[in-house]
Amino acid sequence: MMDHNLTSNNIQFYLDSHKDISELITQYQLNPKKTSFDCRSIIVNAFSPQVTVSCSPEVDLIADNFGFPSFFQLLKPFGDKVINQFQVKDSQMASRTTQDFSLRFTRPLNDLVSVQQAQQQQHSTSSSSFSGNNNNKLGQLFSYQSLELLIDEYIQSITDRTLAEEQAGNHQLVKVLSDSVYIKFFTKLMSSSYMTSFETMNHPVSSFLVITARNTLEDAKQQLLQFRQSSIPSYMNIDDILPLMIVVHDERDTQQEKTAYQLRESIKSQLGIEVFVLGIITSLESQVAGESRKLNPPVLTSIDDELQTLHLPHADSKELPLSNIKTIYRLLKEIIQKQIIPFMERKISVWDTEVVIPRKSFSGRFFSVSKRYFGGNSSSNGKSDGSGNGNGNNYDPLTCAYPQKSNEMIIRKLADWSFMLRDYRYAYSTYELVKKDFLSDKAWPHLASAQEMAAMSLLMGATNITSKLKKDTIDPLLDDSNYTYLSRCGLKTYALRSMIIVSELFCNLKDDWMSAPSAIRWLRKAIDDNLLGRLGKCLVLERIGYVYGLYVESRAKVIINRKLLTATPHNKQTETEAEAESEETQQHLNPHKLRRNNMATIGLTRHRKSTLWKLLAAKEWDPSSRPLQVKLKLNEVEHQYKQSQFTSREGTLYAKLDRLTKDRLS
Amino acid sequence: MSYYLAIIGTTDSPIYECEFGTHKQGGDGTSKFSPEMKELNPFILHSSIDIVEDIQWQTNSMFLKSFDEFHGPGTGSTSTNVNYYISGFLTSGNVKFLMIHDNSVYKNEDSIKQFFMDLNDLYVKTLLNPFYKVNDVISSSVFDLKVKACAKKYL
Repeated sequence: MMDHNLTSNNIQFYLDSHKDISELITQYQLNPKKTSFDCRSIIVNAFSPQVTVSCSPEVDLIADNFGFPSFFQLLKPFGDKVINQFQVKDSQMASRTTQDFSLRFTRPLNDLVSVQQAQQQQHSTSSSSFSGNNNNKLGQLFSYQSLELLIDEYIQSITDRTLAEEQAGNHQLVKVLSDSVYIKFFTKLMSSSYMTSFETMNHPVSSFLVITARNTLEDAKQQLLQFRQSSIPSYMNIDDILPLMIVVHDERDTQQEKTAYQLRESIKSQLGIEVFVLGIITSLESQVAGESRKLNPPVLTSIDDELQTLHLPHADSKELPLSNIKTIYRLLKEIIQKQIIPFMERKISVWDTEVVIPRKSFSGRFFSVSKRYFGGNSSSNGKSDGSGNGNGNNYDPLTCAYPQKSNEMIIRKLADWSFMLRDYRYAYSTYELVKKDFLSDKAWPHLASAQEMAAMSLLMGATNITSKLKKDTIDPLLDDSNYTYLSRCGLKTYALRSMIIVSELFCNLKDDWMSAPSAIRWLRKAIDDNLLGRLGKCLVLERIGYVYGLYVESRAKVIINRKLLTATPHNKQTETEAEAESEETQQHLNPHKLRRNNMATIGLTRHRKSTLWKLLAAKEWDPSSRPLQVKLKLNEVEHQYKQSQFTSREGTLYAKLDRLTKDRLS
Repeated sequence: MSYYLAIIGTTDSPIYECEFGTHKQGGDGTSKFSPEMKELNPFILHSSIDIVEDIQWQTNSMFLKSFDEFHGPGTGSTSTNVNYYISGFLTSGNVKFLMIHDNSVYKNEDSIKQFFMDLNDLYVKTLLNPFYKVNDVISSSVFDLKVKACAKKYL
């Protein structure tokens, strides 16, 4: 079941556990854009509902039996991709099927909030010298040092293997390994669970309250109460988080099973929330009976979490009985299809009728215009929590937040949730709708984020875009969004994330000749604006090289592919014969005629550009500290530069790097 | 202003290279590229061939002004990056003159064009030499001197 989830993110784990990865390698071989497709699916996974998991101590004991510090850590790998046919209704009530769905499991809500507050305090005291601007109230997505550290650790951890495979001449695997560094970087950009007032992607959609059959109804009540009374920031609404109770019992103990079902009935009737029963093997002793399987490491762990677990000795020895894996997947499928998706659909349609439709109607437009121009009393704004600041808007510039029940917050949430349910068209129109409000309220972070998401939903929803749409809609949205992130809010990490995402989404479009320039433009902007750390810069330079490699006209692509096909070994001999023949005839014609071998594709590729950027990346990797990375890049540029004599001259960059890496690696 | 000029043969390797600075505004005629740029220059021009090959079918003129750019390490002590521009001239034999300069061509478009015209004359004269074959490296010191004189005159 898990074998469908091969991602290059976990390549190291697969190799360590001797898993068969030939499928992954052939995918890489067949599809030059494989890494971009991977990035797209990571984006889909990363913008999926966040679910908090809080458990009773008894449940954590069960997780402990299998070597997990808590039950949420046990659930986490399952959330990455649940493969099933899920039915989702869009805003038009038309039903669609998605092949997979993801949930991002995190800590209990209280922990999340308190950790975040502690971080924020630390941040604001450390940067108190900058007080005066309100930027330090807005936390960054991640810290640059941690990201660099993590990438560094990752590169070191694969270095030995890559070197061995490289010397063994296993080029395909080496390619996958070296690409996995960028994938890692990309995933870590996306996998922050930091909650902010201006995007609701990281606000939990549901909360799992897990108890065992040994717990009583009283315990369940306690947990629910604890959840209901969590101290959440003012911009979040506890009513928008769906509590779900899960009762865990031992599969083999019929007595326990009975009590679990009894508990379920009483919780349902008395507390009024949905309950699911999960029967699993709870201890290691009985594991001997069944086959067990190692779990894939979760892909979307946040940077700090991953850094913490990186050096734990038992980090890689977590196994679960196969039957448990199947049961947990079955449970998740049921919860997603029966609870989470319907809950989100319901909320979306309620918000749509309550907030969006009145606004789109004629009178609604009239009201919003009159409100804007005649300022006035916030009393006309029935929905506001009374925390409006008297200017007729709900925005509080001091905390950079809208109150939880303000229309703006609800519309934004509506858009985010439709994005999570992959209704990109509706999400786009909603982002566009709320964007104007943010602009008139001067809610800069909200504005930037809405613009970014609007452009992203356009790109996510399309397989191909016209140059007009790109020029008139997407480019201005992204330009504005980046300007606002950087100059008005100082949110470098968000700006970086949006640039990298956008360039990958451009790579995903069908027509490379049209979209590659945009992808390159955003990657270069990330470098030029100094948004990257040292390693990040190397990776993005490499990526520009990769995108230039894709920058091929569709006609030329056909020709190149045909050439590759005919260049297979058994055809080679006939080809050389044919060449010799044609040479003979040509010599008859004119001995001085100059020959070109790429006549058909001349000017329709950017391979030389691609090589230049790969060379720049190689230079940036620095042969004295990371000779292997430099070597890998030099291998890639070799075939292009080998033909020209100027590259191998003494003192050129290529010759210099080549010599230095050879010295270091020998 | 610094310039790096290369004449690229039909097999994409340079057959003549030269680096010089401006003589206008008190310049002494030596280039002021930073060491990083010096080692990168040939590679940047090599990558620009992609663009030349693309746009050569779309224009009638042989002179291609600032058709490509590169954002690279600046000159002098400041480590900020600056934009370099690449202008070119396509001869009728598909040999390319490419030049990197650290200033937009709009200021001295005409002089660069004139320079390329004169360079073309020089190149054609070299071609007329019965002992010279296309794509051979031009090693004549007279040619070098004449190119530098041209540069002094126009740039």
